[in-house]
Order: sequence, then structure tokens, then C-alpha cells
Amino acid sequence: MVIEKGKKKKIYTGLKRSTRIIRNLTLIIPAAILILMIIVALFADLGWIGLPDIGLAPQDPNATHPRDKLLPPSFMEGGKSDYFLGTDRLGRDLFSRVIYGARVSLSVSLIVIFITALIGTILGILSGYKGGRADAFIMRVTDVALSFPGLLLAMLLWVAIGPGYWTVVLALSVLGWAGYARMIRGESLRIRESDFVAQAQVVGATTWRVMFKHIFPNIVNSLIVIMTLQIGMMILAEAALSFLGLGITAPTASWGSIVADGRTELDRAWWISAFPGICIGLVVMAGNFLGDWIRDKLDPRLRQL
Amino acid sequence: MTRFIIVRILQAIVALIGITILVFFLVRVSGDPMALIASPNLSEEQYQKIKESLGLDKSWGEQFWIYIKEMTRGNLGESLIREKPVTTMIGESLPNTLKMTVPSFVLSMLLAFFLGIMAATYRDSFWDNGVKFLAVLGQALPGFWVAIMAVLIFSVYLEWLPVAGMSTPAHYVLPVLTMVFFMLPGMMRLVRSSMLDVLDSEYIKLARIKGLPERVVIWKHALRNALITPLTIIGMLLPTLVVGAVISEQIFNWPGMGSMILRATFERDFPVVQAITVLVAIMVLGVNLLVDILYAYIDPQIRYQRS
Amino acid sequence: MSNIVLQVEDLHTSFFTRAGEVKAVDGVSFFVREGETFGIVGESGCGKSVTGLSILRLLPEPSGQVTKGKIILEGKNLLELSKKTMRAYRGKMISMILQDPMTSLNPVYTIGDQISESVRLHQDLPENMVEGEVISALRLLRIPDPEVRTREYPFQLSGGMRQRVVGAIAMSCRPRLLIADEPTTALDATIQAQYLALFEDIQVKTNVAIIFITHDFGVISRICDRVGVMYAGKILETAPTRDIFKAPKHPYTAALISSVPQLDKKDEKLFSIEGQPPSLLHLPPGCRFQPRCTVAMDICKEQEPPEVKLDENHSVSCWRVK
Repeated sequence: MVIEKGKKKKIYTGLKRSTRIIRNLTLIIPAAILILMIIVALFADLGWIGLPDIGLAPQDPNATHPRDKLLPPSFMEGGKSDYFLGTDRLGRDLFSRVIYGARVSLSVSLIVIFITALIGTILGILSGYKGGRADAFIMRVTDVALSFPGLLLAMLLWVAIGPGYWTVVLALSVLGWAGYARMIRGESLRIRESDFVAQAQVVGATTWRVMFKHIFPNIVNSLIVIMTLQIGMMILAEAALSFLGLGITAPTASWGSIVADGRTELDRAWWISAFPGICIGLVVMAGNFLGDWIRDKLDPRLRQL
Repeated sequence: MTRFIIVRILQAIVALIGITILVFFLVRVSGDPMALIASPNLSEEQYQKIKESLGLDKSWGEQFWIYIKEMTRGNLGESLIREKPVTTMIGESLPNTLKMTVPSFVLSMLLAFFLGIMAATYRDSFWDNGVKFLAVLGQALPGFWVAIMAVLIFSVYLEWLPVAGMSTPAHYVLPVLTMVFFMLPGMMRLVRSSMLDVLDSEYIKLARIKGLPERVVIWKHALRNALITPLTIIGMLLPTLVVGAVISEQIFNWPGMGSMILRATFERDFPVVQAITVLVAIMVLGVNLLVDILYAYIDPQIRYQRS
Repeated sequence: MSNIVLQVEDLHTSFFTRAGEVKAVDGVSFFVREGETFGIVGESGCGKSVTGLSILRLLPEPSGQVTKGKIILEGKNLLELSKKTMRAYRGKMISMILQDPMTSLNPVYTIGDQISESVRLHQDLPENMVEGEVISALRLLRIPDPEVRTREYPFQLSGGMRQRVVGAIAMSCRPRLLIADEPTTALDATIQAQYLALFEDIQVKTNVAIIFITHDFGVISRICDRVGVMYAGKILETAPTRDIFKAPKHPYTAALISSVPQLDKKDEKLFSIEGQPPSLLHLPPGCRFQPRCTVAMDICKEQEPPEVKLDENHSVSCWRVK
């Protein structure tokens, strides 16, 4: 009986340690992937700090090599060591294109996340705190924005203002704030009822003061959680747009457009489509896991997100 | 209940008018649409003639008024490139899109509810872990890439399934699965978490105390409550549905609405883009309205409070 | 003396968690007779609700498990029944009323649906008699206008009325044993008194044995015939209610009783117990109440006190009692 007890205890402490390790790994691996990707995006070349000759990308992503078309990756039979992931049908180095593609994907998604979080937070707090008609109006608009297909909007903007980097940013931002607004409204509603807000109102704080001095600090955690979880969503959205040709125009590489490029060569050069897709999957998964981890740490109530 | 529905319908109409105005002026801010269609070597006279025939010589206000009048008559304008009424173009492509999206949607929902409920009921089992794994993959991998990899494996290497067209049932497999991949994971995850919340509740405990068999506890007492949250967000599945349809049609050369609007976009055929956007807006508002009504039907509290 | 309906012998229930084995119920024995109300009283987290769920075999799976003991209902050990037979017992032989009436009714079904479900399941009645049975259950709980109520949804009723409906569901098949887990805690004081009166009424009409779980000695004094005082997974003292109020033997019982406000002793200060109940993961050595006990002796820290029978109905586990 006594021995059995000891045994059981051992099993449980073992479980505890292994879960702790797993829990740490779910932070370390995603964070490492994201940091690596950001470094890769930043240092693809150093032209932006006046050092155009140094960079992580081995080659110019748009340089064509007519004699090296559709070469397989260097680790496969027939591959050349110059082209780690092989080449596309114009003989461009796939590895360099994927590295430069990280730039577009990450920068678009980060810019969009900041814009949408800003708009969504302001509208969400306003809606939750003010209530009444303002709330009803903002929430109806939010409902429509949440269910309006962003792809159509992107097409509309493409027709209206033409393709480009900022068209993509705009297309993703115009509807993207709605998710934040709805979440933040719920949080603000809850906080509005708390004593310290009543206290502030009693001593005559202005609406804006209450909203940003008292309510905002209490929703920062939720905001960070949603923003992290949005990294993956935005990268996927940008990739889908570039895949369809609605993103940044050729020849600028973006992960989605490289996948699209490889589509016609699928029977001869599967690697063109395969590798950028794996990159998207990795980064998105890293973003989602990191978001989950931060949520469990900061705000476990948001679990159903 | 009736009042509630009427208010919602009125709100939807207001929203529709707003969207129509927005879309109408948005496609015109880019400048003179004539610049897109007229070739530079047209004579001034010919240029004016075309402009008049398209109604582009009138002021924006007048154009908008004509547009609305025509729309209420069911005329959504004419394609600049193809010189066909947009309604005719939709008539040709919509059935194809429906043939793909409807089975995909039904299949996705059935699978999402079944798998989500099974996963929550047998928590941490093999089922549950499978569902969780699928959800993680589905939310991280881009759908277009998965579709292309499926083409690579099943069409290029194994040669089991055709890649393009829609002539045989086999042609439906990959497009439908692509769309399912877009819609299933998110919904499944939501059903699972909603079901877990419900299974934790006191009324489920009470149902078990009554001695009800698990079958009844799950599929009668838990299911209906677990449906409420996923149903309220079914409207939010529309964007996914549209992206899925456009991408799927693009990859598999499916002659549907998705291919049509994508082509119209690249050709800057703005009447087509505008018409389809307004149509989709109507669909979005309609679905939201339907969800509200359905929600009221499932949750008696709402049904009674609003009556 | 009436028949014993339920006899619990040396019940042990544990939760196996990541942190280790939590011994929520650690050797509990008691019995309830027909037409009798046995109270289980104790602070929150002492294992009283888990005792109730153990009897119904509805512990959260797979973490919660009965590890030892017997639960004998009218001669049958419930722990040895097949799952199917056990399910047939639930609702028919044993029933339970949960604490929070606001959440224990299914929001999407009518009151009538929720009661008739039980009736159909356990009583082999022709369909046209089900409605009558439902209404008689509602009448038993003194719910006004039962014919109207059956068509209403839970959210249309007040908290007190909902708790009566929960009672009606529990009593709809006239079970032999009713477990009431803090049924009045969530109710207003006046409604609480009415609800307690209902229990007496039901018991007179149906002769059901009741286990009444509460943290409130005031409620115990009002409706229980006998009472068990539970602390950190163990019953420290069992006695008829009158005896325990007159002369509590265990220091913990005495402390609990003196912390109940009494109208006739106005000037006395309310007593409160210092400290917190021990963690069920790491019980102290010896008597589990010893760290908070004002009269603890050396032996209390070393050995667990045995149960001493003072008379047929009164037993205590304390080294001070010989």
C-alpha cells in the first residue's frame, strides 16, 4: 500500500514536469520561428541601411538565369549548389525569392494589425462604454463588416485604385477592425460596471478620460492576445490575395504569388509551389501557438477565440 | 417576434442602400472609366458616342439615380468588355458555382457538427486529438496551397483525379474538398468549444441525475444549446465561403462566379465587379437576417422577449 | 425504527489530478432511514458535494473515482451495479437537487418537457397519463397553476419557482432517496424558509429519505433529524440534531455551532474559526482538524483519532472524547 502510494506520486510529478516542458516548448519554438522570420525579412538585403551588397538572400530575387530554368533543390539529384531550393521557369533562385517574400508577408500583416487594432479599439471602447444608439450603430456596422467578404472588397479596391502595396494594406484594414471592435466592446461593457469606473464618473472624469485612463489599461491584455492571434490570419489573407494576383504586382516576390507561379509547372517543378506554402504554414502556426500561449498566460477567459 | 423581424429587415435595407452608394462611388473615384475601355486612336466623335451609350456623360448623381432605377427592375448593368448584361453573365455562371458551393457547405457543416460534438464528448480521446490536430493544420495551412498539393499528389502523380473542368463526378472531388478545407476547421473548433461549455453546465448534470442515457444527454440536451453560438456566427462564414469559392474555381478552372469576378477585376470591368459586390452584400444581409431569426427560434428566451 | 434506505460504509473518493491524488472523501460512513433527513454539514470544499455525487456515481470522469467503500441502497451495493442498471436507478431510486436553480434547468426546453422526460423514462405509463403525472409532481412541490407552468420555459420563472421545478423533476418518480445539495443557498431568505417547509411536506407525503447537504447549521437545525459534521473529507461527528446542538462533542462542531447567530443570545460574540481547512493534497499528520483546534494535545499531532460511539446514534472522532 505504502509502496503503491510512492509509485503514484512519482508518476504524477513526472507528468507535471513533462507538461511544464511542453508548455515552455509551445512558447520557445513559435517565438523562435517568428523571430527568425522577422530577421530574415529585415536582413534579406541591407540596402535600406546603405549596404546593398550584404544580405541573407544569396541572390537577387528577380535575376533570371536562362540556362538554369526549373532546376530542382540542391539536395536533390540534378540540383545546383547555387540554388538551395531550386529555380523557377525564368531561372530565378527560389530560396532568395522565398526570403524576400517574407518581407512582403510580414510587413503587410504587421502594418494591418496595428491599423485595425487602433480603429477597432477606439470603436470598441466607444461602443461598450457609451452604449445606447452609438453602440447599436457601431455593432450593426461591425456585424456587416464581419460577414462581408474581404476578397470582394479587395477586388473593388483593385478596380478603383489599382494594384499596389497600399491597396493590399487598405483592403485588409477596411474590414479587419471589426473583430477587435466586437471583442473590445464586450470587455469594455464588463469593465464599465466595475466600481473604479463608477468612482471616476462620480468625481467627474470626462468620457475620454474614463475611456482611456480607466478602461483601456484593463483591456490591454485581451488586445495583445487578439493581435498575436491575428498575425496568422493576416498572413493567410495576404497570401490568398497574392495567390489570386490581387496582391503586390510582379515581379516582386510574395509567398502567395510564388505558389501561384509554380502552379503551371506542377508536373515538372513541384518545389516552386511547395516551399513558400510550407513557410506560410510555419509562420501562421507559430503565430497561432504564440497567441494561444499568451492567451493562457494573460487572459484565459478568451479561450473560445 | 414579428416586430423584431421587421426592425431587422428595415436595418438590412438601410445597410444595403449604404453599401450600394459606397460601392457605386468607390468604383468611380479612380477617374474616368472611359480611359479604360476607349482605345487612344478613337475619334472625338466616336469617343463621345460610346460615352453617351454607356451613360457616362451624365453627372454622378444622375448616373446613380439611373443605376438604382435600373437595379430595382432587375437590370444590374452591362459588362464593358463583353458587352453582355451582367444578369446574363450571372445566369451562366451562378449555377456552376452553386453546384460546387452547396455540397461543400452542407458537407462542411455536417462534418463540423459531428466531429466537433464527438471531440467534445470524448474529450482527450483519439477522436478529440485528431480533431484538434486537423483544426491546427486547417487554421495554419493556406487553402490554395493544400489544394495545389492535392493536385500534385492525386492528379499529377497518382493520376486518380482530373484537374480541370466539371464534366464528371470525379471532377467535383478536389474542388469540393478544397472548399471543405476552408470552412471545416474553424467551425469544428467552435462547435467543440461550445459543446465543452455546455457539457460542463449544471443542466447536463441534472439530465444525468435523471438517469437519461448518454445518447439523450448529448444529442438532445446538449446539442441544442451547443448549436446557439456556432449558428450566430454562421454569417461570418460567408467571407470564407467566398474566398474558398474564388480560389477553388481559379485552381480548378471552374466556370463559375468566382472565375468571372476575378477576370472582371483584372479587366477592370467595373459594372460587373460593382454588380456582384452589391449582390453579395444582399446575400450577406440576408444570411445575417436568417441567422437572427434562426437564433430566436433556437433560444426561447429571445423568441419570447422580443414578441 | 424505520428501515435503513442508504448505508454508506468507509467511502473513499479521490480526484487524480496533475498535482497528485486529492482525497476529497476519505473514509466516510453514515446511513439514512426511510422518512428521515440526514444532514451533512461542513465548509465548502470539505467533500460533502463529492459524497453526493459518489452515491449517484456521477463523478467527473476520468479524474474522479471511488477508490474504496460500499454504498448500499436497499441492500444493493451501488458500486457493483452495471452502468446500465445504475442509470436505471438514477432518477427512479435516487435523485438529486442541485444548488443553483438559475443554471440547473435546460434553457431551451419547457418545464413540462423536462419533467415528462423523467416520467416517460422510468415509469411505464401510457402516453395520456404522462401529463397527469407531470402535474402531480408540480403539485407536490406546491407550484401554482401547474397546467400553465408546464408550457413555460425556465427563464420565465423566478429563482424560487425554478428550484421547485428542479424539486419536481427530482420527485417525479417518487425516489427512495433524495440528495439535496445546498438547495436553498442561492435563494432569498424568505423563499428559503418556504422551500425548507416544502421538504418536510414532501417527506410526510412520500416517506423519502433525504440527505441534506449544507454549510449552514441554521438550516440543519430546521429540518434535519440527524447530522454528520464533515471536515476535510471525513465525518468528525454524527449525532441527532437535537443532541449536537445541546452538547457538541467535537471541538470543530462546537466552533461551527457557536458561529451561528442565534436570536435568543443577543450579546454573545459570534465565534469564528481561525485558519483555513488543510489542502486535501497534503493532509496534516494525526487529526486533520488539529492545526486549527484550540484544545489540541500532543497525541492529536501524531495519530488520527478513532471513531468513538457514545451511544447508538452519536459517534465522534476526537482524542478529547473517551
